[in-house]
Amino acid sequence: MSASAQQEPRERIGWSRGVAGIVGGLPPALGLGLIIARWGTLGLVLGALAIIPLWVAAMMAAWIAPKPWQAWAGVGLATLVAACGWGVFRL
Amino acid sequence: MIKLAPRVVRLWWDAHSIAGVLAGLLLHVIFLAGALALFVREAAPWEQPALRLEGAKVPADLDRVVKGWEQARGHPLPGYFNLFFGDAWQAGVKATWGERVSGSYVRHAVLLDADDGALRAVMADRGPIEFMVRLHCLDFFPGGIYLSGALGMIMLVAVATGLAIYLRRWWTDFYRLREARSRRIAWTDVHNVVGLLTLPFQTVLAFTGVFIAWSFFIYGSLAISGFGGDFTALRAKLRPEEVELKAAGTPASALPWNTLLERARAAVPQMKVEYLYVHHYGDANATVTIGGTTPRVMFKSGAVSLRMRDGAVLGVIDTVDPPLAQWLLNAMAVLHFGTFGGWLLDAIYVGLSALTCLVCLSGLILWVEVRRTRHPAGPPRWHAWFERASLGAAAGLFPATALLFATWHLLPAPLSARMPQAESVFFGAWIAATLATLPGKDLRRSVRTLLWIAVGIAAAVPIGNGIGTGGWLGTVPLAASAVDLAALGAALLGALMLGRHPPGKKA
Repeated sequence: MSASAQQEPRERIGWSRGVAGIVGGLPPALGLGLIIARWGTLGLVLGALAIIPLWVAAMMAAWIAPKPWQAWAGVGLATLVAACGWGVFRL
Repeated sequence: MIKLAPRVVRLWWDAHSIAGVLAGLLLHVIFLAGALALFVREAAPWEQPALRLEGAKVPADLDRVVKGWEQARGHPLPGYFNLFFGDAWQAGVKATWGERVSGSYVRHAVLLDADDGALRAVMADRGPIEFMVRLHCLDFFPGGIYLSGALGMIMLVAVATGLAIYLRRWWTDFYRLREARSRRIAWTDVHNVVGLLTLPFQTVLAFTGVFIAWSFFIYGSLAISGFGGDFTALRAKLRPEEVELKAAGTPASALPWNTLLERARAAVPQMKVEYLYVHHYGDANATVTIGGTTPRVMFKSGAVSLRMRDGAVLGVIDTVDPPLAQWLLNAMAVLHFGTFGGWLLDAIYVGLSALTCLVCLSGLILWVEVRRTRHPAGPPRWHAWFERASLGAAAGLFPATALLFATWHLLPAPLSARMPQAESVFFGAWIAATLATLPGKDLRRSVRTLLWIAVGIAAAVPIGNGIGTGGWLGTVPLAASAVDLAALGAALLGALMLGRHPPGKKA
């Protein structure tokens, strides 16, 4: 980070976006991991392995949302999609 | 390359610094302890004088060994036990088992002669390296293993955000080490260059560490989602080579041990057998998992599960051509514990762990330095306290660790009951070293003093061993002096590095 960039008014992640990423990022990552896990023994392993990087990706995505409510809406929507996908694959 | 918007870079930089400052000190502890924990087998002859024996070999007649052990015990073998074949560091067959004694679980281990199973030594299950394993897992906190998983997640976040914001100019910054400029610029360059250098190592270790530490939650979610909460069914799918049948409750004799070994070798011809895990010994449904590795094959663990009464193969994972799923699962453990490349890889892991500690500590220093520039009138008092406490604790870990090894053979308690005293020495020294840095005005001087003390104590490790056990360098097998030599090497390296940067130098 250059010195000039640090002197600009700093936008912070803040508590709301931070929690949205950490707490809200887990359900969609877990959901997607569980969907992958439906696909045989290899799927089980790949699904288990995928949860961690998906969670990190979800956090990073939520933290750069323009507004905190958008971070919550984003992880909420992703959770809904993952839950629907999980339900479909269990049928 | 993707061009990131400045606000995205700023927000991820924010996340990077928060993650680093939250976890930097504990990650330093985890990586330092983890580097030492790699040598749990190699350090055993140094830790336990009773194991300073010659004659390591693979047993030619396992039936004779087990019969000899049973005779030495004077009563039947336990229902569950493990056998580990020897190597250069273990002169015989190691047998381990556990039992419940007045509500608590007690572990036992003995070393058996590889020819006739005679008792060579009773092994203590606690020592300085085993202590490092527990420190690595943060076992001293309630739920420490899960906390270490959380720290691994924080590290992954720091790695991912650091990479995202740094990738734009890594080619130019990778070659910049501006030592002569300001303290902040020098540490920034160290953090960036060493961070990039160790990035693959950090990513692999953090990822595999989280996977191992949180396996209970990860597998739990899979078991609930796809197996109706039945962990055994999930385990049978993921680990077919570790099948354990439910006890039948009726006794039955087992096939000879040598026959079972032949069956295992026939199922996986390339496998070099290293261990046997026995379940429900003496029962009609007794099983044994016979496992090992294949030399010169990457992620080479393989195993066979056999029913002991008739030798029926219940599950098998080939070492050379395992299914991709099991290969991946093996890779997680093998990559984390560095067991795929021998002692040279262990040495590389130690070097990379030391550099990772440097990344964590340089991050902490930078966090304070950046905030110092934002307060021209002087930083808030808690910044100074945070800097002193975190860097004091980080530097204090070195003399405390050196003291743990230097005093191990001098403590008055018998070997099997020595660990509580050793823990007091370690934590007492660590707390004292940390507290000693708090009131001082010159933090750099305090840190250097602690590091010099660590160098002096590390150089005294062979003296502690010599006085306590008579095992002076050159008078005992080389395996029994491994820790002494490593301590001397670390002391020499530390002295050279501290001597290269005398207090007068700027960075």
